[in-house]
Amino acid sequence: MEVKIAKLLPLPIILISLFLSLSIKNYIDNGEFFIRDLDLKGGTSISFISKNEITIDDVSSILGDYGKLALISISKSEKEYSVRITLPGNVQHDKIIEIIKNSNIETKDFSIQYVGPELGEAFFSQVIYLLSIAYVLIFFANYFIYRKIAIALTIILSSLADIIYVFGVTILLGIPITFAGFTSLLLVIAYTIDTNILLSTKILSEKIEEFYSTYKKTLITGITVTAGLVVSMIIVLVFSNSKLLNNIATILLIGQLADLINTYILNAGLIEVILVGKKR
Amino acid sequence: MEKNVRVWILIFLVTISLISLSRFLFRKSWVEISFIEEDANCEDLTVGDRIKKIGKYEIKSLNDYENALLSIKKGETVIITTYKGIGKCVALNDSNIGIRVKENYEKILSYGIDIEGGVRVLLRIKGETSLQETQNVVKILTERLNTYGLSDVKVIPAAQDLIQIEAAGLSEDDIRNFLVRQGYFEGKIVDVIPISNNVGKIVFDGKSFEFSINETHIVINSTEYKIENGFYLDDVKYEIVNFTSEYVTIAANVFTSKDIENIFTDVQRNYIVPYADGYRFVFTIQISSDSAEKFAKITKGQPIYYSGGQSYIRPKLVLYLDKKPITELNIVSSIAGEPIRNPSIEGFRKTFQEASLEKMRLQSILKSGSLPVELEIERIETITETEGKKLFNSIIYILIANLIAVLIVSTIRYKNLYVSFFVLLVSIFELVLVLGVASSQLVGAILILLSLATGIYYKDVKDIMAITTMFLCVLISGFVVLSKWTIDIPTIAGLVSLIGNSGELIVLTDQIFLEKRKRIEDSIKLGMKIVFNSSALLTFSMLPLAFLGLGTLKGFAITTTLGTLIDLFITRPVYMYLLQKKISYIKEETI
Repeated sequence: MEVKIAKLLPLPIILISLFLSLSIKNYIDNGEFFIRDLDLKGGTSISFISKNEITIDDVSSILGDYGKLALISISKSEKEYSVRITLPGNVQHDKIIEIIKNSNIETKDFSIQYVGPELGEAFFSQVIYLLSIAYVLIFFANYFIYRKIAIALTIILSSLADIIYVFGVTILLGIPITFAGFTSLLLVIAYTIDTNILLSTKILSEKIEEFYSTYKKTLITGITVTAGLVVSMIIVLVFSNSKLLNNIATILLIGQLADLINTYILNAGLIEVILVGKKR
Repeated sequence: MEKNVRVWILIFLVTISLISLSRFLFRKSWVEISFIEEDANCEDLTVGDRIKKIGKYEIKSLNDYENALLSIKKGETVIITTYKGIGKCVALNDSNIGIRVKENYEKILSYGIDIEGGVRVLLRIKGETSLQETQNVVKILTERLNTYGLSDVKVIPAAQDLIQIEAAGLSEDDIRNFLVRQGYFEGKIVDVIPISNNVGKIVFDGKSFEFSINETHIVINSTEYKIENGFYLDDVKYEIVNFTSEYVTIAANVFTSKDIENIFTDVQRNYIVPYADGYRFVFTIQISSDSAEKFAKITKGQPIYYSGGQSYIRPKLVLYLDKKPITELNIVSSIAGEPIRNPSIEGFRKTFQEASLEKMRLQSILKSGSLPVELEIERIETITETEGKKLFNSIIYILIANLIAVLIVSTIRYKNLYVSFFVLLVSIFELVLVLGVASSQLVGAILILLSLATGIYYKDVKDIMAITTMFLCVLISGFVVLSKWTIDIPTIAGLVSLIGNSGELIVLTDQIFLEKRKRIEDSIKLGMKIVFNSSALLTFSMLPLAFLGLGTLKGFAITTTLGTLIDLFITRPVYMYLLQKKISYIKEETI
């Protein structure tokens, strides 16, 4: 019996290597495996709405010395401009707001976020710790269901690969991951589990001779499930003007597309190698 | 028959959820006191009191309140009936009784500040702390904020050394200069004593005691004390503040925060007056009789001096907050040696507002008592109401978008309106059930019990893994029964996951559509096995998020596991029943 899906394995392996290298490079350059937003890293962010047309340079010059340190982003919604100024560490928010209010621009709705660097770090390490425990529990539950270490490992590998893709693509696109974005990483894990369980359970329930027909049916189901999520995330990205929800949607979109490759090529290919190898 | 019962259970749960959610349409609103102005002359009224009547006028809305004020004249005593009792205010001006009010509503769903707007602060306790100490800090901070006039304040321990506060109307200045102040209050009598050849005399309880002092020690009553340790006369502790060749400054401890028994708020003992180029604020406190006795002993027989026609004793009463002097008071000779229990606290600020704010902050700190620990700010988030509303609208979009996506994909995939309708219906029902649970703890309890009962009765849980999954689902979902569920960002992510999870309905549908050669029962059996396996893994992965860490992702874990519970034991069996009813028709269709 010839392997068919495993022949495609170099594709996810190349992609994993590529995105992992990007993540490692980012770690070497900036000390982090993905671009962490303020709430995961620590710092101060001041957001407001400007009723006048405004550019990044305008804001930077208004801020004076603070402008040199600030990371400024501006997005236009309807007739207003949403401005976000991110500064490292704990700066005097009130002073900056006063500077902006005293400038010529007409502003409203100031909101402030300050995250202590220790908390940012503590939160990040907590999340890593929690995810590690979650993965250990998933592994044992998986092993308990299938009684096969190899199958339990392929599901974990596929799920980890999804996360590596998300990190790599967000680094490529320069998208920082917020706290809300991190919750969508959990969603990616949840959905990955669904698709991988679907694949593993169906294939393992059938005879090895029916491997490819079962795989085909599962692929159709998987694509249908993913299509539903991808369509809904695209709708969110088109219609929502909330930074938080857009971050969630972007990460889910990347994660879902990554999951198609990782479940139906990487995981399926590995299961194929295990089962066909055993048959031989 | 079995499935029919499950359909009725679903209908029952959806109905009670909808009834609970429909309270939105009939929710009660009321007018409550949001702020009592500094110069208000009111009795038996506090912030948060719900106003029932002003005079003879019923108050149900802000309009009613404004109309009731129109007829009030300056100096008139106005009777205000609240749901707590009867209070009164003397009108400061025409149509002004010195209180501010806001309209409030019964909260059917409780939203986090990401949606409602407000300030979220995370404070860290410095150094080692115990759970009991953290709870004590939470209690003090809650009292401090309530006394400050803020209602709807949530103070919760987020971890052993972290406290999270959510409140509307809290400024950054309030947080830094009021909330995190330790509030350790001390009253000391400070005296500058002249010395000659390192020898001086200290007066205590009308008697004079000679002492000698050098760089390291002070000798009094033939006993030698180290300078840094201070010394005792009777039960009064003295500290040596400063020492030169000509003077030694000593401070006698009279009272601390725990000796304060009352803070007077009546207009005679609590006021702000114009003074020099600003405003002076004054309020009176009552200290314990032990402290008053100490005051008498320390001040008795002290040397007197004259100023502006008034005689004072040489020592001064200095009040300290967190080791910094806030008030320095001259002591008139007539009260020296008397057990004075009502010292006044005074302060000066440039504007009336600043004076009023500082007075209120000091009173709040003194009332709530000092914090046993030092606090540092870890995180401040301010979210405006507009921003919250924008997010809320986006959430509605995201949920509708998900439902539309489910409908589009299932229609394209199956080209069968029944299937699309069933998938959509089940997704909507799941959303309604979760929101129903969020709106009422009772609905939550009924839903969890019914899920458990049907799951066991219909033998949905057959092996150890299924039993464990069910147990974990009930355990994690149980949080919503124990306390009111707040809808925050992680919860919303969980809701998105719930609708996105309707993909599992597609898995089940495909089992029937694509496995034409198999018996329907076998296809469904395998389909349910897949669903149970993925639910088990999902629940296991949510376990650490629900119980460990900062608790910030708890909302996600609860929503996801509650969704799994509903999915496994309530909605999915009904979906399979509906699909089976149409199965002969479906099997003939071409996909």
